[in-house]
Amino acid sequence: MDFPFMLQALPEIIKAIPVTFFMAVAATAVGWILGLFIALIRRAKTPGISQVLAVFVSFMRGVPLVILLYIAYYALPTMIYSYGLSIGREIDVSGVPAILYAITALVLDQAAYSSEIFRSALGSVDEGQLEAAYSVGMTKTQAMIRIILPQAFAVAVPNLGGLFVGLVKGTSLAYYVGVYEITATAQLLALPKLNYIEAYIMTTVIYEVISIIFNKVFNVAENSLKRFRGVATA
Amino acid sequence: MNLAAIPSYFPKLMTAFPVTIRITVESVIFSLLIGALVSVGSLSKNKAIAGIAKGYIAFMRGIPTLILIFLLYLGLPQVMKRIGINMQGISTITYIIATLSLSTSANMAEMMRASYLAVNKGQLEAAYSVGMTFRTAFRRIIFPQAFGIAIPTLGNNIIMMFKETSLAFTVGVIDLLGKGRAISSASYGSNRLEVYIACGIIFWLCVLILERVTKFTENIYTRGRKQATAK
Amino acid sequence: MAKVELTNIHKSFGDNHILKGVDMSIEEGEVVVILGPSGSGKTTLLRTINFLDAADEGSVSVSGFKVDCKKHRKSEIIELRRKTAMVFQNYNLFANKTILENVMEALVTVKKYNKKDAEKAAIEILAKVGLGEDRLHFYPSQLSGGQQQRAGIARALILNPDVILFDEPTSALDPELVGEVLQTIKAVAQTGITMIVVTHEIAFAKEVASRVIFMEGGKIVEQGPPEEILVHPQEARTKEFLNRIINTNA
Repeated sequence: MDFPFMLQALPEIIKAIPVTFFMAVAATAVGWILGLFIALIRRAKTPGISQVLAVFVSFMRGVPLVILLYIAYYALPTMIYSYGLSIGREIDVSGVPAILYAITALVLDQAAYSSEIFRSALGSVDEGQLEAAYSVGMTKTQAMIRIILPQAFAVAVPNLGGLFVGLVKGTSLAYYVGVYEITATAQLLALPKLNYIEAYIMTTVIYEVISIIFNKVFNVAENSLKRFRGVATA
Repeated sequence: MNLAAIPSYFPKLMTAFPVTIRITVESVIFSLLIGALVSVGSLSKNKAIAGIAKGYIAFMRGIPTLILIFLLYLGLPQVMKRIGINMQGISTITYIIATLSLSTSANMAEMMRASYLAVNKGQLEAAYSVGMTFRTAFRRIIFPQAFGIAIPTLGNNIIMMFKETSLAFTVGVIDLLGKGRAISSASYGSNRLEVYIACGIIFWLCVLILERVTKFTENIYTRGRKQATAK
Repeated sequence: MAKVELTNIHKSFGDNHILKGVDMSIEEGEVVVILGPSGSGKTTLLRTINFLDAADEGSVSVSGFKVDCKKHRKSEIIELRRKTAMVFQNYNLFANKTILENVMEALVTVKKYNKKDAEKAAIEILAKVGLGEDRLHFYPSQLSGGQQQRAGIARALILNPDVILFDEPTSALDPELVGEVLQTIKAVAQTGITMIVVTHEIAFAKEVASRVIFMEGGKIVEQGPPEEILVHPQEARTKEFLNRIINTNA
């Protein structure tokens, strides 16, 4: 083991953690909101759009993330460029940071997977809850926001936790579209003197610590929400 | 972008399909074998063994597959060399199969553990009560029920792993995506978007088929049986 | 003017014609008990009153507010629901809210009370159904069925509705818990509020009802004061039903 290398490289790799987190948090924030709307629209069975969304979800779940990243990386610049022309501006696409493409791919991925989680969680809320909300005079929106969604969310938490940890792991693939997150940084540092084993052991430890922390966080959330998961019907 | 050209890449890409299939099949087999061992360990009454098995599962679930590939492919030969073992003769496809077997084995172990625990405890007691040994009870009573419970998860695990075979290109294996990269670099990247979309479509169709097969197997297997509810 | 007026209610689920033209008129302060075998449409009838199941034909009127079942606006349904309240067979307490929050919920969201007033009113009404301070912050899943159902009654009562609809309020309960819930419903009946109760509890009907309605096959077979219907029924189908119930209960 090349300990001097490790001491020197570790701070550099740690500096890349925010890049990884930024991708994960941005993809979660946008992707899960999209996913919730996809789930609600598909549940409402709005004709046309509901089928289109079903195909979208199926495609996103069928295509490996690394291919999705490549597609976003090569398709988006052309799309942005031609959009620019359509509004009469020539956009310098080379100025767009790669992380934006990576986040776009991750957002689509998260939207698809989280929509499936939300869909099954919404389905698991007892029909009687909606009826009870109606019976006391709530509107549909009130019933959704105050009664149905909180319960569905409680059911979804464990799966969302798994999805998030998977996403953090998935961000390592952004290396292939040129984002200098944890993995890419380690790879870069290891190259000159071929310190692969040291670099990847450090990377492994960082990812393991991240997943331990988030598993714990989601576990705590799950337990604190448990008391109102599911009605105890006789 | 030339959408109409996408299908024209299918035949060339498909020449690499047997490689993807081989990686998938071998990794499924090895991950099931390792998973079985680990799940037995995780159910062990010996706290140390159960702890090691659970630690293994947690570790494999925490590490990105890409990092595991790099550890095995770039790191392991370095370590081995220092203790005098030369790993140069090992083919790149072996590394990818080893990686996917290890990473998926954790999911397989969890699946087996959960399915085993989901079978009603009374089933084993009933088997004992008619004089069966654990071996017989497991083979004839527990396993058939646990398998029925596990089918959807098994299908899902295989699908996830199948998608991860796309990482084989990272060590230079010419699988589907590896072929795609080769095609696109042969034309200096001019058609890369179309090629990657074509790759994506092939993966998607395969996943759709795998989902169908899973559902079909589940229906066949559970037909006429009272389905025990999975966790 | 009748408190609740149903005219020519028809309802089908697919090919299954459940309600075949029901008329019903209920005066203020009446306690109406609807009896009938399962599949007779009594629960569906109750659910058409607050449009949890919208009838295909006919009209529903509560306190003079009339809604046509064929063509109705969302806002009309909401207004109608705000004049009624329901107690469910499976309690249907909001699983993500404590008992206190369950009872406060509609006061805050629907009646726009401020939280303090809502809480005060909720505590008061919960005490009336026998749920004291020690239970207020429990979640529904932490309570017995009887306690949950009493909270369900409090949730309905607090809205001060023109009519309360009870849908088999005791049939999901363990036998030893039925008594406490019936006792609570009886106390509610004595306050003079208009009630419609679907139930199988004959003894309860005898004691509390001001009128008993016997339904079968999606129609009202006969109705009248409890002593008349339960003791001297005129229709053969009513007699048969009562015999069956009394025999199985004995």
